[in-house]
Amino acid sequence: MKNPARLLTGAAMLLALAACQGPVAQVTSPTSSATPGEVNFTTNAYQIIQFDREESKLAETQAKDPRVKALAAQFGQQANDFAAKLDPIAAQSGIKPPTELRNDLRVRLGQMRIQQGRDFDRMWVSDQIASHEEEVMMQDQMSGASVSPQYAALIKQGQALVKQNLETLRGLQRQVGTPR
Amino acid sequence: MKGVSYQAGREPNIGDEIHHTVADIMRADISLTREYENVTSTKTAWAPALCLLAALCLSKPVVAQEIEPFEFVPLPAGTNLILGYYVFGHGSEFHSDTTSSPLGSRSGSTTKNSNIDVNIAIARYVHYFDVGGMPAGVQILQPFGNISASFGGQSLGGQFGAGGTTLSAFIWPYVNTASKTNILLAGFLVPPDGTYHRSQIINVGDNRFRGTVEAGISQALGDSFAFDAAFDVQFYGDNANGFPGNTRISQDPTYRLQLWGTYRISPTITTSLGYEGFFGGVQTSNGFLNGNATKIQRIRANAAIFLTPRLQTMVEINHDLSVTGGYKQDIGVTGRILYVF
Repeated sequence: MKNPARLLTGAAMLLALAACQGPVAQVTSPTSSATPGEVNFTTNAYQIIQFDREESKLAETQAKDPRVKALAAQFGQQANDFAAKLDPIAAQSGIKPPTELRNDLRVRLGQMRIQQGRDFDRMWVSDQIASHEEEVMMQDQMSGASVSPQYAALIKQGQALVKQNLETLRGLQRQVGTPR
Repeated sequence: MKGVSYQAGREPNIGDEIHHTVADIMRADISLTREYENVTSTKTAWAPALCLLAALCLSKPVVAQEIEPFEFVPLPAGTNLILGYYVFGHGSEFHSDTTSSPLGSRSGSTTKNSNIDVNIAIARYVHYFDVGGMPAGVQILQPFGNISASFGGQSLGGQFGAGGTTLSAFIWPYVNTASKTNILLAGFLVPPDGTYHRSQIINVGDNRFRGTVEAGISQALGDSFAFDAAFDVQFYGDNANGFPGNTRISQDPTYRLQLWGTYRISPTITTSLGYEGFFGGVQTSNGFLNGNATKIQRIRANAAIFLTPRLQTMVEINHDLSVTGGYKQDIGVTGRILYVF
């Protein structure tokens, strides 16, 4: 009676593997001129964009503080606007954005899904500070990377916005507090 | 949604005329011969000398679909969970069922000095993904461990082995973040790959296919409360090799309702109270009612804490308020460690 179980187990694992998607941007064409810096930026930018979109969506219903709700909506819109600029540039360079959040962001998002009210507010602000700090670090790292003029312009556009958002978030955290 | 099952085999000191099949860790499905049914139907006290055990099947198939709080909250696509369970149970009475009523029977007998001890570990892996824009996932569970039992003061022995591997897939057809409602559908299949020897009275596997369909809902209530509910139906294939090897054990579907009410103490700590009710599962041996069924009313209490965002520990304590067709569980304890990656 062992074989049916092994077959079914194998089928289940194949199904799981088939369902796996990548958290890293891919170069879609062998003739692509995409640089490693552009691929890296597309990967990281997409991760933050998708994370902000997901957390903003949760904040619509799970946040309690109207300031958190408003800021989340604003960040969600910013993420969409940035994605609208990034997508054509990435496509032009033959880069396919990742289709899945990376591991640590999935874990953070999973935690957010079971939070409500004030606890959600505090955790959302804390999460957003962390993701914006990561964006600042990423953009600093990109300053010396070899990228196309379009990518360079996009990176520059994002820098000022991210730093401004970070200041807003830190101010809000002083009011809502840190996660318990 | 974890799974385990046990099958008991031969106890040479007790004999060959009465068939006992036990299903569920604390719920035994005892298959009795017609001679034994005659004893109980005439209100005669159970007499070990007259009632000779031929087969004992111990199982907790329903553990595979046993939910803990927040299990119906979908996690992001790509998320993986590794879970480890330790399940302990102790019972000291056996309550037989002599009718085919799905809700139990008062005509069954209670056999004192019938103990059961279960020590089971379960390894579980869960992977989440999206299907057509709907959250979904697959999981696999493998139980293993030890079980020992006695009936009316007669030892039935014990055995260490592997339970049936549980394969499962699930999907959320309805997720409403505005109303904080999640509805899940799940399917489970347990092939008969557990440890089973037809010549032994106690086996960890139960030598039959089992399948379950489950529907569940989770609902957040305000900032600190949540509610989970699940209903499942488990179907059983026949075990054509019931002890002593030539008994066909059949079982009606088991219906189960589970409820959890949860209070969130902090973002990382929750406490819950729950109910679990089993109905149906009437069993026959070679076509005759054998006294076994799955009719249980159980209360549960649960506490969980995230030690880190990736690591959660949980403990559950439960107790059977009433049982018909099996061992009544005095106390059950489940410990769980969950790792997210």
